[in-house]
Amino acid sequence: MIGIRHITSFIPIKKISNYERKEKFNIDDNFIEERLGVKSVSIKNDDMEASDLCVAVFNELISEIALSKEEIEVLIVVTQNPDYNLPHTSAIVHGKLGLPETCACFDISLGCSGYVYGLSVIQSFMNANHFKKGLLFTADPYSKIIDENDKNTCLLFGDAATVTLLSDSPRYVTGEFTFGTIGKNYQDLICRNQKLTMNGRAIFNFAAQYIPKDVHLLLQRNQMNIDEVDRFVFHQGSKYIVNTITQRLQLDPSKVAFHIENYGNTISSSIPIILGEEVQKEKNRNILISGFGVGLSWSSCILKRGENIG
Amino acid sequence: MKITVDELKQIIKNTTQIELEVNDLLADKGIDSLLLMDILLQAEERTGIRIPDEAIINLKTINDIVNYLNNN
Repeated sequence: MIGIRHITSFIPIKKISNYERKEKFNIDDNFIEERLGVKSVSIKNDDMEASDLCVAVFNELISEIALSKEEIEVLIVVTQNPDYNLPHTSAIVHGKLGLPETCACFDISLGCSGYVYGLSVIQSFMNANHFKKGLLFTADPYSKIIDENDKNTCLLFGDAATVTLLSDSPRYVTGEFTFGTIGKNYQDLICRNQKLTMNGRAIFNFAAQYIPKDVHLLLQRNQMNIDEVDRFVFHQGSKYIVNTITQRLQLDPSKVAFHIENYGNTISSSIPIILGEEVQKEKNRNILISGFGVGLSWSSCILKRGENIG
Repeated sequence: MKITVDELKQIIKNTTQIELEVNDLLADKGIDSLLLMDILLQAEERTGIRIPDEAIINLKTINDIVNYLNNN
């Protein structure tokens, strides 16, 4: 069975502190720490593209585990800020890494729900083609499209990349998924003319109203009780959004992950950055992940600790 | 469905732990933009009335919110 073997993340060292922008945006420490939950956002170097972030995180991966490039049969990049409109960023990553010509490559254009969708897609693709090893990257450098004068977005979003190794000897396997889209509200989070705009209220309302319901649906599909989930990893939109979902689901806050203080909301990377640590903890037998945002789109799934724990 | 001043006060207290009088300016009492979004969403869910984005700028007190919801 195909599942998650290992997850690695790369967070650029360069930061912009939100404390230095308090006066400009008329905000205080409480707003930074308790509402946003973001003290600083990570920013890639100007000359880095999404593919470079993927290469950086791949180099981290091979420093952590034994992996031969020759073994990689599929490479997927989740991004909405690709290097170019065409070709697909995954092909560029493939070239930079020198992967085998037999390796399948394609991109997935999704935002904050992208990692969960991506897991379903890569597993299905690998199962259908009898592949044993594949890489799922997330790299969405929003710094390319952030307006530094837009309080709604520039205090929140940071750059990062992750890579998940999927293999036939997994640590975690997925249960059932949920997916959803509210396409009529696509303008609530949109990039026009290379500038990102977000209707913060609309996104908050969407997350607060749809995600708790989706969690209940997911648990029903997996025939699980909410108490059987050891860890909840919601998309790290902001501290207030995660807290609101926690309250609406009446979850024990100690079971809910949140730590984006030093890099911000990293879009499709937000879940796997945290998951990389959570999958190392033996106590986490069942992990619920839920991504939501651009689209408006959402997807959730249960990760179950597999038999082949190495 | 209508909402009373006391019901909205309770929503605000449950959400923020802040107790307000009907004509207190929300912003002056620590209700920032994110807290306001949450309070308005709960009030909308209670009443079934949607408050458009453009109306929010005029909702500065509990009285303003209750009046808007009960007259639209």
